[in-house]
Amino acid sequence: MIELKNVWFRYSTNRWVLKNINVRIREGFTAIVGPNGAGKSTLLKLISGFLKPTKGQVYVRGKPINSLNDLVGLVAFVPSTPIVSLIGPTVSMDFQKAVKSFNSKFDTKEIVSKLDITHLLSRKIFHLSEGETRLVSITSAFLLDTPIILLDEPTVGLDKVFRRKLLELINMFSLNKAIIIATNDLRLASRAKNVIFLEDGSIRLAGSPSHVFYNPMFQRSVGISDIVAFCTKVDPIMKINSRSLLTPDQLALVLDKMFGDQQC
Amino acid sequence: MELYRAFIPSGKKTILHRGNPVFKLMGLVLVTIAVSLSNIYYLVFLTLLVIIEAKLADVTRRLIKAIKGIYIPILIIGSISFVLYGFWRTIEIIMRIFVMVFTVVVFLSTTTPVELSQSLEKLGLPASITMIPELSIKLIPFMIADSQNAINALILRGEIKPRRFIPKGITKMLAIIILSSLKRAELLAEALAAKFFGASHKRTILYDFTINIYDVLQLLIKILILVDLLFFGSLRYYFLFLLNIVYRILLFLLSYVL
Repeated sequence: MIELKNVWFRYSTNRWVLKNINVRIREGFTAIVGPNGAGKSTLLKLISGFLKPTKGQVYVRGKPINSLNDLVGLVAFVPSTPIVSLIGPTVSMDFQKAVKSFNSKFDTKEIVSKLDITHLLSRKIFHLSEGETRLVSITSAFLLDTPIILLDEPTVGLDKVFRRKLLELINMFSLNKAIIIATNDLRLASRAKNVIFLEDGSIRLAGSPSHVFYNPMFQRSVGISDIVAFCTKVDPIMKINSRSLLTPDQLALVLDKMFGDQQC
Repeated sequence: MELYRAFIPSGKKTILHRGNPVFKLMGLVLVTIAVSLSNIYYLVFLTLLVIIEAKLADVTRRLIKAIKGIYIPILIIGSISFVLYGFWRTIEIIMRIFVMVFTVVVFLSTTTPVELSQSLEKLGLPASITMIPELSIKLIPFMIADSQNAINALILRGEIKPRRFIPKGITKMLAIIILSSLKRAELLAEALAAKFFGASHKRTILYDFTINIYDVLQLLIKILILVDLLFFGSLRYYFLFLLNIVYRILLFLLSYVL
């Protein structure tokens, strides 16, 4: 669905933010992870057409992307400052406009009730909290019914309940859409179908969460090698799994227990 | 797209970056006055001056970025002005805009907001006043970035049709920009309160400002331009004199070749 061929990118400075990115992303939930400054958001902006590659080419559905206009109706993007993607003035009006934009087939009421955010509908955009703004803008992006949905740091400012709602949204739509998120939240990334690990502007690892998460290079980079070593040691004692390693879901559970609502 | 990057301090260590912010601000004020009063001869001179400054500060690429960012409003203003006032007046108006934008880009690329406010404070101005330009300058890149993100997000949502001459949905875009700038202002106010701004009259000054040769020279040139513009208006004759010399050299070379 999305293909990046030999993509290099730099801002006005001489430092390359992304170096020779070659990746193909298909339908389903894909998480881009990596340390701060690795180029996650920049990669997302290149796919969304917000930025143009300095070298190389981005293809969506086999067509080269040369301007933002090529992606209208194909991509919905929620940037890290989600307020800029909302029209408002109220949440319900924003949702209605989102549904009308590309004649989406979704029933707003059904999705809103499933997410249990009916109480937000009459609220004005300006009066929403940071977490609420993020959840509303993400819901709005899903309501557009575009085949590609890009979310930049979607769990920042979201509590446990809202994070679960976000996961519900992703699960609801990930069958026939490409949902790509840039995140530092490994609990969310562990639920992805594919994980891309970026470091210093290059793709170091790509594959299933277990393939990426159990790589020592990844663990060192995101600073969880100690936790994983600890979990591996307690795992046989706790009899969680007959194997000596935890599954990504179980690792996410352990991280959840250890850090509570904190990001890990 | 990346217009706002033209307004962020470039972080280089050229003579302009090391210059005294107060002198640079005075230069900016002088150029602003000169631009509003000057005719085409002075505008050509001021354009050359700001290009030399940009070259010295190693920020010439930012000027090109700025041109790319403002060419649509320039085209609109230019066509209206051409219909109303004719060719030369239009050139004058466009040059005025360019000189002002270039001067601001050079100033903001070479001066950090903190440098500016602390140097003004050193002159004895109260912190509540010196913080105004500092906070305004700090907010410019964020506001431009937010605006660009808002425009792009709205294009993707199908709310703005950019191919039209006057884009549809421009009011929605303005509403979002105002909204996001209000949010930014709120955050800024909270950040200031969190740092106990205004709790004490004493403030720590971290910078030791010096005056270098560039500061003196640029200010002298700009004062001379303004004085000449206000009292003599003789730059036109210097230009004609210079053109005359170029013309004679060309004539001489032509006769030599032929």
